[in-house]
Amino acid sequence: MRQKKHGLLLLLCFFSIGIWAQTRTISGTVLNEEDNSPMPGVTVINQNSNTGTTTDIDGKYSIKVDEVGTKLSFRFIGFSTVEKTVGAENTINVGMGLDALNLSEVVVTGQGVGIDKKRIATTVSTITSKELKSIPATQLDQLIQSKLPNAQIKISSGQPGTASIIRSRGPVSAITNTTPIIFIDGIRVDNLNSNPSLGIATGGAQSSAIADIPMEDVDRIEYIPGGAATTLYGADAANGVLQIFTKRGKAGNNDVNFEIQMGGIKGTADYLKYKETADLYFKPGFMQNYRLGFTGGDAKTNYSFSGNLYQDDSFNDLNETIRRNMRTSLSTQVNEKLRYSTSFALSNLEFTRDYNANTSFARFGNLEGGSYGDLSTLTAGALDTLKEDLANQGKETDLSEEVTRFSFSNNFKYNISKNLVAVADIGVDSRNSVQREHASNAMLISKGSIAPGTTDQGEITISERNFTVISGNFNLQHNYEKDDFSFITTVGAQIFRENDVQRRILANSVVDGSVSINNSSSQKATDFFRVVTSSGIYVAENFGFKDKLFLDLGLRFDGNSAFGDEVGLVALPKIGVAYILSDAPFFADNVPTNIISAVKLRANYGQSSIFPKPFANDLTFEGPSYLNELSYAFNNPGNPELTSEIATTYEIGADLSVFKSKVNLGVTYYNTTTDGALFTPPANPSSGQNSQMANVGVIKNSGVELSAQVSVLSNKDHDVTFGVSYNYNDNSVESTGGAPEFSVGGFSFLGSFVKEGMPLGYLRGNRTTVDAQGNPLVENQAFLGTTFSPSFGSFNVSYTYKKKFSLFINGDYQWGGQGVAVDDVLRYFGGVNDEGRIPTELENESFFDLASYWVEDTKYLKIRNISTSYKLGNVYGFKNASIGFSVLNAFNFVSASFDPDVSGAGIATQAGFAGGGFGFGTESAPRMFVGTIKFSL
Amino acid sequence: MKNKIIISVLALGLWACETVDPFEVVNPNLSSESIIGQTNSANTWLKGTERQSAIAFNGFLTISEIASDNYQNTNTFFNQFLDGLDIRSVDPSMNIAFKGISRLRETAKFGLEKIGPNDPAYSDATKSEFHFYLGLSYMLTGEYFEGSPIEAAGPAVSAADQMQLAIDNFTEAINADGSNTKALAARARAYYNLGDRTNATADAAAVINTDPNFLFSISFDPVNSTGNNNGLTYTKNELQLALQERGSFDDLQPLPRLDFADPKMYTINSSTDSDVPVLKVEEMHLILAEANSAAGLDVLAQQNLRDCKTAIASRPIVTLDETAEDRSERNPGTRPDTAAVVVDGRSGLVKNRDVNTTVHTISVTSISDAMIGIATGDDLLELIYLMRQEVFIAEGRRIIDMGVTFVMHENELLQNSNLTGSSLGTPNTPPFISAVADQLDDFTYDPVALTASTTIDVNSIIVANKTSDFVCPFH
Repeated sequence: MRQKKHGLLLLLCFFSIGIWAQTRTISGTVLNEEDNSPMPGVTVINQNSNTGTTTDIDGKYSIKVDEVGTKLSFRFIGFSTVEKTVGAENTINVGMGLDALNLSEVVVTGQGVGIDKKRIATTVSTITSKELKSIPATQLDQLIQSKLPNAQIKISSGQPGTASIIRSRGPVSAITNTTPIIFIDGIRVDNLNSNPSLGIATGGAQSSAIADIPMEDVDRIEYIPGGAATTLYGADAANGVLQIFTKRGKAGNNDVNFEIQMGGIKGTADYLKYKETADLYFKPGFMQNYRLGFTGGDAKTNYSFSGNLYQDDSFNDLNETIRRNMRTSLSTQVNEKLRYSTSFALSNLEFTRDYNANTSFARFGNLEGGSYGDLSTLTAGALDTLKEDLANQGKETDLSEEVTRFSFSNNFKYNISKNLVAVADIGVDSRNSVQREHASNAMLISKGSIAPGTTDQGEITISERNFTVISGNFNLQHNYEKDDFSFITTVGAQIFRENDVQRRILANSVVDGSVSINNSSSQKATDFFRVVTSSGIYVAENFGFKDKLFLDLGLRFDGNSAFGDEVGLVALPKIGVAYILSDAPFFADNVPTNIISAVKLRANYGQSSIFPKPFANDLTFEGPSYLNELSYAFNNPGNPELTSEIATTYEIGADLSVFKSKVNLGVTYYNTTTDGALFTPPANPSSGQNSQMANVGVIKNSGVELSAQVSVLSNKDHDVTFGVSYNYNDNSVESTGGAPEFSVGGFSFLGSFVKEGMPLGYLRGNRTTVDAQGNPLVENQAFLGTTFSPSFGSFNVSYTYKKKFSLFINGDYQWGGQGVAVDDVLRYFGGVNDEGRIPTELENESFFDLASYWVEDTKYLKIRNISTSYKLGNVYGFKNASIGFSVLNAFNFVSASFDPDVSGAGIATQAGFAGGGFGFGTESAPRMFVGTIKFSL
Repeated sequence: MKNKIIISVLALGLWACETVDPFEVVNPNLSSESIIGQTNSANTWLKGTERQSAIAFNGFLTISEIASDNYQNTNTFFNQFLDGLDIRSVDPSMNIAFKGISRLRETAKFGLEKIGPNDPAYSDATKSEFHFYLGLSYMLTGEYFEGSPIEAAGPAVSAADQMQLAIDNFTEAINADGSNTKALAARARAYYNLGDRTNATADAAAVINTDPNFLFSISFDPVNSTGNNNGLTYTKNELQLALQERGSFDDLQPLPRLDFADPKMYTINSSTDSDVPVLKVEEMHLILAEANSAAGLDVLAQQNLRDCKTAIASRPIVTLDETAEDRSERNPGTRPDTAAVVVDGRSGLVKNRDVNTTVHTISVTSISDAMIGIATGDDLLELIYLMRQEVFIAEGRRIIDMGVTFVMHENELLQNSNLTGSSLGTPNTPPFISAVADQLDDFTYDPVALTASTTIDVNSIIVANKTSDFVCPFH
């Protein structure tokens, strides 16, 4: 009853506003200044009331205003924002020009509420939907590969659903990999980029939650690489933040969109030791992808739906992937002040996998690792027999995974007053993954692992992980302008809680043919829990002077349930300055704008953090089963002082637009020190205790990030742009707090280690040389390289002809890093190792002492994607039809004998450090040839 | 009105926070309170101590066999240095070996000091077991290391002092439970290690009297094993993996004259691994034999060996499908692989590996009564050491007979200020063994003539140096 009264009162209020305001409608057309073409989708905002609309397909808009003097702003990504003051006229036409440095682009990530790019002192990379469309991939990491100028993405295996290494500035932490935290529409999502704790190791392939992030209807991706930009995220944002924004429907556009993709898949033979491997193991596959979308709405409410069905049967006889995705978004103006948007996505991924890398069951690994000897010397008959044997092994292999995931976001934007806006997001990402391995007797016999006729060795393993993260944030932003000064004040709070529950069941002596674990001699179950809650409050002030000098201040206080008992809140400050030099009168007077059209200088200081592994602070015991009885054992020694590691970054940089905005340049120097770095150094063996995580290390990263975007040709018919980036990172462990070096991956004779003065996860192994007398000279535990290449970058070329035909090419490169040719270590065991790798005089040394000979430089240049498309326009009653053709993973130029992207030596712990670089019986991402047809109704 | 709404929302929010504290997280693992002081906690802790003994044995067993002349490591990922007795303080195996035994010590101690006394159901039998495992841990560090800390980052204690600590604990174990035969057997071995002939023979004879088939083995649990083979939760039998399961790589390969004794451990089924014998009556007979031989009582020593053979004869034999174990998977013809091969002039030492290969899971010897009957003096001592080698194969004992010890790993040396300047990181290998370190596993094989011969007879080297402090404790 009371509720009704409230509703009534509110209704009355709205009526009153309607009656008393002297409302009139302003309308007009927005045109692109360059060619006077209408611009659809431009956001028009009444700055007095903070209400808005968007232009229609013909660039037309209409908006209600209350009084003369009302300011209207017109915004569109890539164009300078235009402001108009309403006078007596009812028509306001606007021309918009390209924004040289995207200074008026509104970015959200790292800022609480959206803010003009020019006001912030840090860099934000943005990928637009147009750029995303040019790639036929369906997986987030594949989509952004080579697209972010300052990040490197390596897909660790060609098998479905596998992890990647996403890094930008170098590893800031030894306890986790470099994967950024990921948000969709403001909601935190599962970003586990490694096998779960109880996951099934199928020989080194790591399953990843990145592979099934619902990528339907993505409008834009923002990425910040860490440092001051991530301060406001606290918790674990030191590796960067990747934020995905989904599409909203647009007023008046009630469209139905179809997209059909079909193509072929072919195993990449570029890295094979034996060309016979391709004939024996690869099998061309077919991919198909169907997408259906609706979008539309009216002035108040808009909606969007997108559904997608994807299937491919990969590049061999075993892998198959099926993906079913859908997303629904709805946004409505509830009342004059409140806008509510929601997005619901469901993603379902099913795939089958083959064994690979670190298991003798790996068919590809065995072929390339010399288990069948030198394949090039086998007779045609022997190859046929082998092929048959492998096909039989494949037939008996049964490894699968199914993921069902939904994410649900709710965004509320409430304009409290002209200058004050409140934004709240609340939502959930829930992911259920089930891995299954059925090692039947028949499979084990086919692998030669057990004698023919054995019937009691069959096993089924099921590993299930249920992950839920609930997150919410609340921001209050106040805008105030007085004369030459402008102030944007943000206060906010953020909370998330992650629940990770895993179970693993092993059934022994399973009868062949049984899918159920019930038909077995015994079953064993294990579980795993990890719960963490993190919250933070922050205040930020962006202070502007004459719209060209900006001071950006922020402070966050972070609390976390993974902190030790003696740790309270962690304070993370940031401060930055941005200066639009080109807007300064002396600059404008002295430098012709056709030479330098825009210059922005920026400098900042900020802290970000990574919180410790949940429960690592507690002293615990464990009660494992031993011979069917409960037993007790020491577990974690405990650390009441455990807290976040803090990465402090200093950064300076400039953005430049020269030659009539034809060349845009960006340069940034950064220097990051991780203090209190979380290491789990080896315990004193005499203590007999487990190793304990502690804030003992110091890690340094410094480097430069350069990017250039050049418009080579731009006229009525042709448009050619070229982009390139170069990044240099110098990483080293400054201190381990006195702890001896310890392993974070790889093998003990040749692995990734942490040691003072060396890059994090440097490759360590013995190096043997021959002295003057011809005797072997062993250098124990030598530095053999680093898997994170210090130099890397990406490039892209895009060509458009008459705005109808377009060609897009992108790729990336790296040099300065190293990796391990593990396959040849295995070939060495089989006596068929690469000729000349081991010096003849050292052939009798222990292979442990020959480790260095398997380390190779991993320079590469890869053309990841070549896409063409042609807009057909309106044909046969279809609207906006287009056709396209793409080649994915087109060309590889690599210095090493293996693919530097793949890594078969796994990540030691869940979400643990991942340096990659172990070329180990793992297939590379396949080459794909994809044709696309799109049209609307 | 608006204020009231805001206040209501805030109040509701606060109430919600009170009801559901988002910061409340429950660690699924056990806290101290959930163990210490709980009824029956001592028995469960003892189970954990037994489990830890399996983990500790994994830490040194495989590497000991590789380091000895028993097995050759033919390009596996098991330790590659120790085959040539290349003992390095940077070798992670040194860390694992010492850490596992140290953890057994800490576990047994915690049981004695914290768990047991607080458990209302604590029994003398359980107390006896804790003392046994504590003693075992001292004995093992004393056997495998020249000296080592016996507490976290503590000062180094010599092997002899640790053997004495072991004896004290075995005595405590016997005092708490007079039926604890394994403590008695262990004490016999500890006295033997110290060269205390009187006490060693007294305990050995008592064990034989009490239980003529005495055997104490450690059991493994492949079902509940997690992590990899250098971890603290790995409870599979690692040596079984190294000896018999043909996983990714070739297996460890025995010296041809020990072929008949391999594999002592094999896959029983996916949920059962083979046990590892730790203490057995055969050892008691061998202690008596060596004591009698040292006293010049060869006839008695010969009888001890015959008694040992009788004990061996009652041990189980199983039949295995060994077709996958063809001795030379990758390089055919390089190792003896048929019963027709004569090794060092003796036949019957090599077995055919077929579907019905017989395997001895506890003890086996190739020594005949005739060989015993004619051996006297040093020849007899050599025969005793040969029998020890055959009986103890795959039990990690051979390197101790050879006088070889491991070293402290750098993780200890760097983090323990008591060890600054210590020589415990440097191997102290007997010079007579160092001299032949490269040839320990060597043999020649003529696959046509079907003859093989062992390059180095380590037993004769041991006996030749019997008065050295490194070997033959009774001499």
